[in-house]
Amino acid sequence: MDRQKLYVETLGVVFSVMTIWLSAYNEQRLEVYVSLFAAGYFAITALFRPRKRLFDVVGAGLFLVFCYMVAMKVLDILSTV
Amino acid sequence: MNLTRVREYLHEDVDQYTAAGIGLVVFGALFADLAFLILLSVPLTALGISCVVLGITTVLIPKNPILASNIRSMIKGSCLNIEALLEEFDAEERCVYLPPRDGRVFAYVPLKAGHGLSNVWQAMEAPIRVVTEVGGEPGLMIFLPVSNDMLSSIGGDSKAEEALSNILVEQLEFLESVKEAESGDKVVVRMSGSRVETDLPRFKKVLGSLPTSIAGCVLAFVFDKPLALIEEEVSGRVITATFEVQTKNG
Repeated sequence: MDRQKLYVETLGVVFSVMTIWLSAYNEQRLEVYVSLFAAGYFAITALFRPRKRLFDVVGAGLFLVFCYMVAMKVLDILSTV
Repeated sequence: MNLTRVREYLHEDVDQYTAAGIGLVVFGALFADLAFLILLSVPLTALGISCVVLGITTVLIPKNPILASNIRSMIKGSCLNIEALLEEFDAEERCVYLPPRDGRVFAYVPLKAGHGLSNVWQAMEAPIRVVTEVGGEPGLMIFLPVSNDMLSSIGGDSKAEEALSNILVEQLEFLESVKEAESGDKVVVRMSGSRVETDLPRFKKVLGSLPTSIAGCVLAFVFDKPLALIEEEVSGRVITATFEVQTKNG
């Protein structure tokens, strides 16, 4: 199997396992899911280093969402202090 | 972001993986909205988001996973044979790029001085052999390392600059950009950001540098007329090549 296909399939399996695992623990915070997806995506992308047709839109999107969530969390903590 | 690349990509045939990716994106987006707004379920929303991420990733995966740098190395390697052939026959004259015959574009290299342009129409009728005879004079037919599939992907009604950009910038990644201008029977091609450098003096003298020789093939294919390489100027990573389109009465 070529590396590109293996990359997509690994990503699919990892995302499914993460979702099932977190929902089994009754996790209700969407940011936890998205953060883990981002971490998983970057780890698997670094592992397989696939070729992309265009600029890595997914990576950039996940990174921005992750940054937004971290910023909101920091603001939340600061506002309670 | 390179808009030409985006345009090319959107015009590509949708393969199975791309179709699956688009399907996943649409399904994931709808499912995430439904789960978040109506079902009020965070795990199902996350499942929808994961489908969107997976779908976009699938769409972004290219059909052809071969690196352009590998293709460049292979093409550079194949030029060694041409260099050896030109050395062997002591070819000195500039070549003429001939339009496709049996789907292949090739270059005619006269072995005697001053017989290149006068024999060009006879060369188009000559038997396709490496060593050939055109109008009683010896010559070489050089098959350049640009494949039929690559040229046929251009399409018959493409403009020259578009075709050059497709082959040299998008497919082979030889250059960063290419510009083409026509004035009468002269065609000037300015190739910027060249990524290939070949130390093949005879090849350069007869066929021009590797990007120029590929450009010659592409132009001969697009114009469907013979093109003579008139001059080539290399300045750092910028190559300016001038071709002359041959017409029967010219």
